[in-house]
Amino acid sequence: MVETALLLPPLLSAIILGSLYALMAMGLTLIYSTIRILNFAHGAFFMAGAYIVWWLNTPESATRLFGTMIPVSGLQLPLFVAVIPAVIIIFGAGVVTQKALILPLIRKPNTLITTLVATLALATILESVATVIFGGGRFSYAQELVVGNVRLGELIVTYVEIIQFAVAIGVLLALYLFLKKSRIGIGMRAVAQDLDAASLCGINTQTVYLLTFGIGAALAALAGFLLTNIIFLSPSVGATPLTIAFIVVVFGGIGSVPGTVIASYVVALVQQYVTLLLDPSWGLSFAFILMIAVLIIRPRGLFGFKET
Amino acid sequence: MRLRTIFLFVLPVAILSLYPRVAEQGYLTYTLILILAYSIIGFYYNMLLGNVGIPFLGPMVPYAVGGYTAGYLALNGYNPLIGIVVGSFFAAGSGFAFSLLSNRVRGLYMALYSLVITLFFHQLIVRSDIPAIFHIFVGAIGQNNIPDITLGGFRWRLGDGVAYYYLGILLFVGSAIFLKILLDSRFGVAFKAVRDAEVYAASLGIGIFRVKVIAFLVSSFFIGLSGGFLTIFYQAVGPDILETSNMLLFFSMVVFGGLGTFFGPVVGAFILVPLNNYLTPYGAWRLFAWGLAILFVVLVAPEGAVGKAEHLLRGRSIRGLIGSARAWTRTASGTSTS
Repeated sequence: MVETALLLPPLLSAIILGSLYALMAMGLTLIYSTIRILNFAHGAFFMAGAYIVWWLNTPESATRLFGTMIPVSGLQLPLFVAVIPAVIIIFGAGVVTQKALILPLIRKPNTLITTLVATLALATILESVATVIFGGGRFSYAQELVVGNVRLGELIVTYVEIIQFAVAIGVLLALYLFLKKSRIGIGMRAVAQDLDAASLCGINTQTVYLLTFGIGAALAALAGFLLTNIIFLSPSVGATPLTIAFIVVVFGGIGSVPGTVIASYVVALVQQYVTLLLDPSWGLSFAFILMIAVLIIRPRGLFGFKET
Repeated sequence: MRLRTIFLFVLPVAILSLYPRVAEQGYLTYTLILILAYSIIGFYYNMLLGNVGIPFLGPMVPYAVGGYTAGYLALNGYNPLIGIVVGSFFAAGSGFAFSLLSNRVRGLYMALYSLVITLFFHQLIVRSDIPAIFHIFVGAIGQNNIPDITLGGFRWRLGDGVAYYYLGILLFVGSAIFLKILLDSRFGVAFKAVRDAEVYAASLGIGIFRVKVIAFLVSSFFIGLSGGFLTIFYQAVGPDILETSNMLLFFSMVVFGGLGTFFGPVVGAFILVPLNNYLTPYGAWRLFAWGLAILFVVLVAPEGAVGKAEHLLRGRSIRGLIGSARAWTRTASGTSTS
C-alpha cells in the first residue's frame, strides 16, 4: 500500500497542472460558447505563442545548437516581458483568423465540418511554418523563469510552479470578472445565450466574435508560455495539450465554464494519481478512459447544455 | 443519366485499366494505387460524413483494424488475400462496436469522442509492456516484412505492382457500385432523412439506431478493406496511420471533393494524394502547400469541388432552376447538419 505521505505531492501537482489545463481549455470553451465552433488551431496558437517568446528571449549564441542558424530577434527580452508581445500577437492572429476564416464559413451550410477542416488546415499551416523557420528541433528557454523553491513541510514547490498557478488562476479570475462586469463581457455572454436577441439589443455581434476569438487564442498563447517552462518546445508541442483540452471540454460539457474548470482538475488528478500508482505512461490513457466513460453515461458531458 | 454514368465512371475506369499497357510505370503506378485505395476510403467516409451527417473523426480506426488484421494473418502464414477479407470483417466489427458505444453522442461531442477514441487506440497499440498487444501490433515499430501475395504463381510486387494496381481497380469499382446501390436503396433515403431531421425521421418510423449501426458497419467494412489492401501492398503497417494528420487527409479529401456528392471523394483523392506524394521532397513546405490548398477550397467553395461544379451547371436549365430553388428552401428551413 502506498504511504499517505506519497499521496500529497501528486495532489499538489494536480492543482497546478489543473489550473494550466483550465487556462488552456477555457479558450476553447469561450470560443465554443459564443461562436459555436471548435477551434482545432488552439494547439497551434499554443505553440506559436511559445515560439514567439523563445524568439524574443533567446540570446544569439544559442542558435548554433543544431549546426544550422536558427533566427532569433537578438533582443534578449526577459521572459516576463517577452510574453506580453507574444500574447498580443496571438490575440491579433485570433482576430484575423475569425475575420478571414471563420466568419465566411459560419454563414454557409455545414458549418461544423467546414470550420473543423479549416481550423485543422490552419493548424497544419502554422506547424509547418514553425518547422520551416525554427527547424524540427526541441528547444527550451535559455534561462529559467525564476530559480528556487520553497519547502512546505514535506513538499517542495518550485517558484516556477507557484507562478504558473498564480498566473493561471489570476487570468481566469480576471476573465471571470471581465465576463461578469464589463460591457463587452456582458455582450459576449449575451451572444452566447441568444445571438438574435443580443443583436436586437444593439450588441455588435461581429465585434464580439472577433474579440472572443482573439481572447481565446491569447489564452492558448499564455498557456503555451507557462507550460513550455517545464516541457520542451517543438513544432508539435501543442498536440498533447490540445488533446487534454479536448478531453476537458468534452468531460465538462462543451461550452460550460464551471464544467471546464471542474473537469480540468479532475483530469489532472486522475493523471497524477495514475502516474503515481501505476505508471507515467498510463496517465493520458486513463484520462481517455474517463472521458469515454462519461460520454457513454452522459452524452453531453457533466454540465453540457442542449444545442439550440 | 446513362450517358453521364459512362462519362463519369466507365470511361475513366477503362482509361485507368489500360494505363499500364501504354505508359511508363514507376512512381505513378504507386500513386495511382494509393489514389484508388484512398478513393474507397473517401467513398465510405463521405457516406458517414455527408450522407448520414455524422461528424465522425475516427476513420483511421477501421483502417488500422483492417490493416493490422490482414498483416497479422499474412505474417502467420495465411494467404494475404484471406487476411484482407478477414480484416474487413474485423473492421466492420470495430465500426459496430463504436456505433453501440456512441449511440447517444451527437454533433461536436461525436467529433471529439471519435477523435479521442482514435488517440486512445494509438496509445494502446504502441505499448510494449503488455505481451499480448505487443505480439499482435509490434509496438511503435509496427508489423514489418508482411509476405507478398503470390496468387497466380508470381510475386505481386514485381513489375511496379501492376497486379496490385488491377486489384485496386477491382476493389474500387466494386465498392463504388455497392455504394451506389446502397444509396439508391431505402437505406440511402433513410440516411438522408437521419441527416436532415433526425426527430422527424424517427417519427416516420425510421429506426435511427439501426440506420446508424448499418452505416457504421458498411463504411468500416470498406475502410478496413482499403486498409488491409494498402497494408499488404506496403508490406508494413505501423501506429502512424492513427495520427491526426492521416485523419486530416481523409477528411479534407471528402470536404475538398464535396460533402455528400458521389464522386467528390474521388476528385479529392486525385488532387490531394498526388499533392501529398509529389511534395514530399520539400519537407515542411509540403504541409504548408497542402494546408493552403484545403483552406482555399473551403473558403472559395465550402460545398466542395464537385458540389461547386454541380452548382454552376445547375443554373443552365429549367430543371436546374427548380433544383436550386429546392436547395434554397432546404437551407432556408434551417436543416443544416450541426
